[in-house]
Amino acid sequence: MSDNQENEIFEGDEDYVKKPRKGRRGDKEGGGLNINSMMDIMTILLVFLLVTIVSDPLNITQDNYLQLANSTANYDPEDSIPVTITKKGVIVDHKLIVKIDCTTAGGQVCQDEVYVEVGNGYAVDKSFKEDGSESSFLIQPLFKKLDEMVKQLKAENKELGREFKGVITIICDKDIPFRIIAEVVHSAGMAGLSDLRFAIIKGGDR
Amino acid sequence: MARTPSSRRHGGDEAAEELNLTPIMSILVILIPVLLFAFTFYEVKIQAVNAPRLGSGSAKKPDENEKKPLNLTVLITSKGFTIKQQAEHTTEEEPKIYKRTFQVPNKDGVMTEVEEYDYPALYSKLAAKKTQYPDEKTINIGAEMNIPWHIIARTIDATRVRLEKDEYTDLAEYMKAQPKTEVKDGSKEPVALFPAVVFVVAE
Repeated sequence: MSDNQENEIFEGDEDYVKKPRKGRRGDKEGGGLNINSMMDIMTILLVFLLVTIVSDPLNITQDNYLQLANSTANYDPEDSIPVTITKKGVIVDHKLIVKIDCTTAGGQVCQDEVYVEVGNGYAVDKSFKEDGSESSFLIQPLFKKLDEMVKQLKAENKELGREFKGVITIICDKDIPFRIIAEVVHSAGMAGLSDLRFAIIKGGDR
Repeated sequence: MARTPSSRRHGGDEAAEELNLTPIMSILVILIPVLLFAFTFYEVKIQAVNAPRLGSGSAKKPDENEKKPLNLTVLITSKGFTIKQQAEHTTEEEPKIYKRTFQVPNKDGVMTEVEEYDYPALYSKLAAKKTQYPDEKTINIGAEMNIPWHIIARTIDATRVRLEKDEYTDLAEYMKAQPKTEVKDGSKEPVALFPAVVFVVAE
């Protein structure tokens, strides 16, 4: 086994290597493989993967309930407060803030398997909104949470002597209706976040 | 250097050439698939949009009538697009751009008929507007409450940059079109159409 391996590796300069090497090592070492080059590749790959994963500021994992829209926009994501709107609810800071209700075209409450169907309606229940009225655009729990975060960030930035920009990145499922986006945008605006960024996937076609 | 017991056991200089890499290898072999799995193969970018100006009191109606020269507005309805602009700049109402059917190749390359928003017509209209008012940068985008986000994203796409041609009628051709570029500070930059997008809430 060892002999075969060496023959293959040193095929190019057989005259020079083959005979002396064979004589010196051979059976003494048994199954020692030459895996140095493979190690090199793996180490480089490892470093590359680690760097890409760590440097990604948004780090979005898509699933059935969160499919980003395609776009040709080409701006890099920046450091900001991320708000995720999936088909199931609005998520801030890895916590579900408001549940989103899903109804099918026939008016039924969505079961897990029909969540992704076209024609579903999505809405935030009115009990979460200001005064509990259907027409309100202010989602109370979301506003409270964002307001808290903004105040904290403002205080932090003040200590560090930096300016607070009020940027919010909305990571939004592609089937979420404008109504919910407008509500989230409005709640964020009330909390002092008026510079919106929408996460999209860079696709080839417009 | 003094000979350590371990080096003696392994038979001197020749064996010292090769390290026992097996444990490191087994770690790497596990780590790399894990990382590859976590690695996202799509590129996430962002689309910048400005929120409507909000009043402090009754903020339910965002102020759409900021003092702007043109105030170009695109409204997305379930039937198509409506373009509006400040009354003093025009005497006639813009015709609505309705959804229509297009011949678009599907995944297998076969031409199929799809009903789609008329993005090419919208783009052509906006490109003409830009030629008419070259200083305008702002566009308001509003939508009916049930319009899903991907349609809005695609509409914003149509308003943002100038493409190779000023007019498109075919959706397939429009989808493949690349942005027009100009050389700025030594690097190629796309030519902007209406880069400042503002959301409005249509009543």
